[in-house]
Amino acid sequence: MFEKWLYRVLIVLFLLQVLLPFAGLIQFTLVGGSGALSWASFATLFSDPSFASSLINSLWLAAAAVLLSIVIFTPPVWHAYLYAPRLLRVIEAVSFTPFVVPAVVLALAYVQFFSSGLLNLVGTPYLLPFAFALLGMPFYIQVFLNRLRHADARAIHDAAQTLGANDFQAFVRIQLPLLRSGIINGSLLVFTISIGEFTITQLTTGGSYVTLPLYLLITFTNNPLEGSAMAVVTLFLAVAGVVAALTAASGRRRRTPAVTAGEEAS
Amino acid sequence: MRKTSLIFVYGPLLVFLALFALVPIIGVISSSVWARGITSEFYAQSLSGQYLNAFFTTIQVAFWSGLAGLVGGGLAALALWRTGWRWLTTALSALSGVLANFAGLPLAVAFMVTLGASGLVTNALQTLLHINLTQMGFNLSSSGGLILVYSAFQVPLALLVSLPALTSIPDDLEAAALSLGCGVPGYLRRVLLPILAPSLLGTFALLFANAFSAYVTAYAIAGGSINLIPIQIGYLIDGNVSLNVGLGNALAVEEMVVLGASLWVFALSVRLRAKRRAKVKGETAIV
Repeated sequence: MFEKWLYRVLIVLFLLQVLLPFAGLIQFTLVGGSGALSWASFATLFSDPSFASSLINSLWLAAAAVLLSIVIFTPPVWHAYLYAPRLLRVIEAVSFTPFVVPAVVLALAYVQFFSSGLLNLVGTPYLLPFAFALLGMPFYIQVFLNRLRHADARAIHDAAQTLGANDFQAFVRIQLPLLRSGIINGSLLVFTISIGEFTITQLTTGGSYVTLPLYLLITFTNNPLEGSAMAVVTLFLAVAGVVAALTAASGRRRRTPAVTAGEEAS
Repeated sequence: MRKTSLIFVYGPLLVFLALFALVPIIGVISSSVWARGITSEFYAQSLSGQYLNAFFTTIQVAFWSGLAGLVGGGLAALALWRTGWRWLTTALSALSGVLANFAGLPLAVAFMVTLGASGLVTNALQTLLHINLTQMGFNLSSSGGLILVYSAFQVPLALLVSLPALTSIPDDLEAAALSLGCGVPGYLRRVLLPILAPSLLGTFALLFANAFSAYVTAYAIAGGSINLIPIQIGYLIDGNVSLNVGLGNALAVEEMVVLGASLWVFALSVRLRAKRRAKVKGETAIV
């Protein structure tokens, strides 16, 4: 009896610790200005033209990062999983690079490497989708592998080949639809990471290319109310991304939920 | 599959990794020891004065926020596992996933508007209870303040990492321990704790690495007023690239060494757990 209550208290304490700052944030956003409940901070935010432009900047960068992840990571992980388990282990290990090389070190490396010659990309946003894809790599590969392990992909691929499909046909027409939910989940995580990325964006563009997170910090400095409204929006986007990924994962047997989740996030 | 098509499968990944990870990182490492000849001056510089202090502050923040995360997240995971509410576990894991991975900047803002110099809680304490947090020495952009803020993503991360360690424990272990006459507290302390010790150490190592590399949260809250390694690296990029690239590179290499060592400990603990589980399964099969 005592034990049960102890566990409940621990769970409540965890929830308090985790949610109190955000309760404070939401309260500040809604009543901080006038002392009365008001949506004014959100109205200011959404009518700000730089909000729209930073949203567009973030969206295309995230979309590009997702596209890169799908094109670059899917075929080798699939092939190595089926035919080269040793190589797969190497790919998995390499995919954890961003944990050992954090964003700030990557930014330092990029400003030196991409500052001259053919690849003079520092100061432009064109470096960012690649950087975001690298940051999302461990998440994308783990989620995709998880789907591969549950899909019996090898047997299905062998069957397709026995029926006369070549590797390319079998990959595009059988494997991709089979593994779609893994690709969608991984994409959602890469998307969420890209939408929230601050460090590399700020350090390689010198703050000249304003995405949502940069806009958040600039706005918060000038107008805390509008900035905290932006923080609420950012948080909401992250929650939506993760919930959509989870919904897609749990709905893997049924077709519709995975598709709906994908549409919601994009 | 023919060799030409293998190029299309693996080629893009290889080019991508070479261009956006391998070559730039090798560049950082090599120019941290090279300036018109091999030199250790950048490392000497990076391990003295304010940079040495930055190391101590970063270690301090990473250690204490890691410990807070381990205790808070570990206890929450234990409670979730023992109550066995699956829907709550799923919901809290999702919430923790968001907070641990994607919430750096909103979290910083949330703490500033609640506990900052004129934050909601700060003001409420002042007017209602006449407690002045600032006079009591509390400052959100000090290392103590940052430990508090970091805990808000360290605790959820610890929950996420320690849940699988707990659920991998066989159910009949408790029954066995209880039937041999050790109570629930004894089971937790004398059976569970030794089994979990490697996982706990691994989780702590992961949390340490996580805080050691955190940049956005500290940057948003303290800007230049807190002396951390990631902040120093960012400052060297942002302020004046051409001025002292070598120093920045030396700091970056040291950062990678710390993270690599911590994550190696984490990987060891995960592998140990997998091995042990395979062994337990094997024995059950024999019986």
